[in-house]
Amino acid sequence: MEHQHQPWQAPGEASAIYWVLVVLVGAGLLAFMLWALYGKLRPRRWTTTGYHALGALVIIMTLFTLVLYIIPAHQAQQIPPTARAWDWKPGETIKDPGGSGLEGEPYRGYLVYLANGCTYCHSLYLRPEDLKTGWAEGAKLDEVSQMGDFVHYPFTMLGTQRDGPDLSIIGRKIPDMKYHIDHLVDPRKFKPKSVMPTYRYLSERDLRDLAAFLVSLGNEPQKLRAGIAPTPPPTEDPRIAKGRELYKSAGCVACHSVDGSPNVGPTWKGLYESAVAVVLPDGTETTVIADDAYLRESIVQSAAKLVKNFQNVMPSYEGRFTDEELQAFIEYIKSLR
Amino acid sequence: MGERAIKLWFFSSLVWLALGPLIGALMSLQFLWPDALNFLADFNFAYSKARIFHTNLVIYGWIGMSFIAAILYIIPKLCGTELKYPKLAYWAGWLWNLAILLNLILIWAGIVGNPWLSIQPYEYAEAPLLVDILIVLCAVAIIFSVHTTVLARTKPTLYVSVWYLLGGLYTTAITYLVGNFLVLGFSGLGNQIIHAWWLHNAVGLFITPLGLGIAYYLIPITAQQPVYSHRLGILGFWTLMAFYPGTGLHHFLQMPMPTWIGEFAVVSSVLLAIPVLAVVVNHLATPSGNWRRIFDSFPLRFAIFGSVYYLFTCIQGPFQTTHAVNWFVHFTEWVQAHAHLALTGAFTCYGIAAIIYIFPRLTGKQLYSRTLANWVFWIMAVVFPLFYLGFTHSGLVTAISVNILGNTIYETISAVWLARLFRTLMGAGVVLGFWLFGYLIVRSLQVGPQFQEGMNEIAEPEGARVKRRVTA
Amino acid sequence: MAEKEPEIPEGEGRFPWWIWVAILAWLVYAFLIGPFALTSPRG
Repeated sequence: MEHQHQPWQAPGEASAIYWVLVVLVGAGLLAFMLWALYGKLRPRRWTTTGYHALGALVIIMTLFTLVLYIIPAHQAQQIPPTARAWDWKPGETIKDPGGSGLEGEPYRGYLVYLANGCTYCHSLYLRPEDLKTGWAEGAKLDEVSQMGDFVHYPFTMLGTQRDGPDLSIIGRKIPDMKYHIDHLVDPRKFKPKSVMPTYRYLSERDLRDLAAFLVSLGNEPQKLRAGIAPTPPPTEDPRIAKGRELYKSAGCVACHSVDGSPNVGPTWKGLYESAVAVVLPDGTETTVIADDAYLRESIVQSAAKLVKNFQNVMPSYEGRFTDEELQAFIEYIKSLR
Repeated sequence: MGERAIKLWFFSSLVWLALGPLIGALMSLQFLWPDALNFLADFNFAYSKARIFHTNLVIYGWIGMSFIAAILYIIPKLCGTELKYPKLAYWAGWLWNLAILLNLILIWAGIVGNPWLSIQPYEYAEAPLLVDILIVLCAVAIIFSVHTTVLARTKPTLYVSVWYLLGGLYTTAITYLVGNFLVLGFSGLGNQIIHAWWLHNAVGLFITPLGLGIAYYLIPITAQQPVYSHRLGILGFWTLMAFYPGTGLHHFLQMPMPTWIGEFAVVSSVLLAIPVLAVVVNHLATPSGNWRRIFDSFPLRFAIFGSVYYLFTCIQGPFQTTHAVNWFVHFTEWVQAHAHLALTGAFTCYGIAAIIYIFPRLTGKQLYSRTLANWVFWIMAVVFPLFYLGFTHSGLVTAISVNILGNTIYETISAVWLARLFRTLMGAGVVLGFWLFGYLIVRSLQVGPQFQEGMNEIAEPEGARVKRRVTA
Repeated sequence: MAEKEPEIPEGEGRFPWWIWVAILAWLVYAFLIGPFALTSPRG
């Protein structure tokens, strides 16, 4: 059977010796368990040698598994680095790609990151699972962490806990040191629901370096060094975010898909400014363009221009939404090209 | 002198018990009213540093010190001899306290880029190199003292507790050296893999064997029954030593790494069910036939509850390492709840049991109030499980919201707010229980009635004494 | 402190039969069902 390697799957394989050892140790343990449960036990008298043997055996067993860990640890260090591997050296600085003129030292920023325990709420690696979870919005398939990404890290603390989002591509998403500094000082200015503590106690230098570290995450070091600013993502209209939230909270999600898949109601994907065949209340069929006015009317009173081939099961939302909220819906639908 | 050493380790552990969990409860407010803790920044402090305080104080301050105190008491008893080099053990106690204090100061200072004074970026091994060296000195002193005590024993047999305590001390030494020193020799992902070895063995090879050794001593003695099975003792001990050390990488299963070592970690974790069942059957079957003692003896009560929590922890643990579950609960508070089930549930119960058992035999005074002891017990038996459930609930909701529905963490925060409030309230209850326990001990120093061997550890009201008396 | 402490006697108990059932059931789950990340969206 052919085994297809995904880019994030590790190339390291266990050697034959490992498998021989596994079988031997497994058989030994099984034999031991049978003996301990059903074998004949000798009288319980311990010589000093026996006592030393106990200690020695415990230590040997522990060191055995330690060696089993050291082998892949060594393997992992030999992996060729990927082009995007983080390889900032002490003393090296980068200029803020956001254009504020600030400069910071990513390596030292990493030390600040660790000294302040950022790692207890943020991870620094992207699982393949995370493409479909909400831990790292906007992550792309080729951004899933690979072994070669970490070769140059002086030490790694990839994190075991996420109370906040994953940060492995934060620099690609927000290549702006000024933003990161302001966010560290007052997180809720940007994310009203964030529970992150304020790090205003950090010195100016620490903040700059930490921001430089954050910017270095998810960007190819060569490009940052060359001053090629990563293209910042188009800043999203806050109304779109509002509309997306309403789409979930008001229950639209139950009947309308946003990815084109069929459901009880028509999908919103590609809806804006498309030609829609509708049935008027008097039974006549016609075609309209799904512009702002049409969408607004349809949300409030869907029966006014019922889309052909759909049942009129949508409740009236008359008076349910403010004008601002209706506009948020429309902006959201607009964004679903 | 031996007694002075034990007293020092015991009473220090109580101080850290009063502080460590309290910091945990306070920092949980960050998740409820994040701006309420902004004032901490005026003191160069934040939630993330408080978390290091919390874990370090509980592991090294409370669990570490109370367990070592119990070892210093139990080993000489089981060997029929006095503790050797008690002065060494005594001064190691002061040095250990000093190391913890220094650790807190350096973590708070957060010095960047100093090889001796900076935080090491490893979970549970944050202690800077300077502190690590102090801790190693203490550990060497304790191991030397205990080791020579066993060599000088007058009894030919080595009871199963001695295996656990001695074996546990050796593995503690190796684990600590790996997690704080060896790991520095690796970089990149290799560094993370060695760290993973330490991460779980800090619990598995340090706290677990010591705690189980203490329970193996307390349960038969306080239940006044023989240990259920010598065979299960052997099985449990050696399979624990075989399966535990390899489990660490189950904390990083979705990390890019050689697949076979991850599988090895999962298989090790799954097989842990065997030592756990052996130990727990042995503990829970021992009082069988004399269960009435559980009403009479508080150490027995706490130790049995510890073993029950241990069972729950170790059913949950192997379960959540299997891939089908792991990707889902990983990164959420489910895992932290699991850690609390082990440390607050199982091992703190063992620690409390050990203190209640040893305190009268050390100071010659009974604990003065049965009511207060009952309060502590019921808090650990009722409030703590609620705390655990609230914690797990919060983790599950996060897992569903973020992993399944694809919400961002910000959209999830309001969904778990109530669960987190519940967690904080119940956690405060557990902290209150610890404070009551501390008060009970300190107050008993002043007003505890005279204790003699054969009496209950806790003074009983005059009327109740006759009814509850169970002859040994 | 060196007063004679009675030794702790040790019995010859075995696993009750249902513990074996539990262990077997657990191993079947862990090795036959658990590893297949049925629920995981991993590609």
